[in-house]
Amino acid sequence: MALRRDRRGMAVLVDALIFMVVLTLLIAVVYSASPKKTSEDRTEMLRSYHSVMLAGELPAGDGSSMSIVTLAEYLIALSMTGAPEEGQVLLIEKMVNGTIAELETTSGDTWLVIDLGSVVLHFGSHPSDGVGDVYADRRELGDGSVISTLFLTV
Amino acid sequence: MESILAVMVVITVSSVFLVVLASGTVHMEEMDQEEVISWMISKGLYLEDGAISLDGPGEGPILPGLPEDISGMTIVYRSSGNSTPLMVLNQGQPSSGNVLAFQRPLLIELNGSRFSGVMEVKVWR
Repeated sequence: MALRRDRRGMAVLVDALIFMVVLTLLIAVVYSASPKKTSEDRTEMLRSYHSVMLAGELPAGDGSSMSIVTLAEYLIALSMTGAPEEGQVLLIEKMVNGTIAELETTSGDTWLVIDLGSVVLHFGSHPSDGVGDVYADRRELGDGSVISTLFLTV
Repeated sequence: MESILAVMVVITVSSVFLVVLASGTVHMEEMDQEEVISWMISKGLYLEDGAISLDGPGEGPILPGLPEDISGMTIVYRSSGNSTPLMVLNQGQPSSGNVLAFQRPLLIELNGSRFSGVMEVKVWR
């Protein structure tokens, strides 16, 4: 009789153990999958916004003597002429501000760093160190003389 | 003792069922968004590589139907960082339940100029 009770007790223990293990594994799988997906989504979102921003065209009659060009083409041209003038920097700022403001509103602190070779331009608000995860999308334009990096921290 | 075992089994099975159901719901929502995007691309309402041409600010034309299993839809095109809509498209009945909402960046062509914009989409069953 004592032996039978002991076996039943063991059966309950084993079942409880299986229950805990299965539940823990399932919860771990569900929760570990979510952050990875979110991270991929943010990276993809940043890439999309960056692509669209660089493909935007300069407003007509806004400081450029060239025919219609995209922001990427304009940056490549600027990298060949040395340091940009104040008006040219303002034009770039005007073209990137919308994207930065959009990401600031919907996602988190956003800033853009454009390395023209001779000068490095910063747009947006660079947050203080140690705040959340930082995502970045880096593009080398032309022959690599221009590097545009869009940052997002959440 | 058997009843205790039965309860444990029921709890285990129901937990597994709930977890599977929850992951399925999340997955379905993601799939819906991709389906809506595919439908919009097929109708020329969204382009991943290219610009959407808008005739002018204000109310736009009616959407050419709705995706399958969708009873209503709203699309807003606007400039990046500017909440003022350039074009609004509406179709279907007003929403009465859960709404799937998302936004995508896109190039907008207006008055011969292409600039960075945003497309806001809301769909409901």
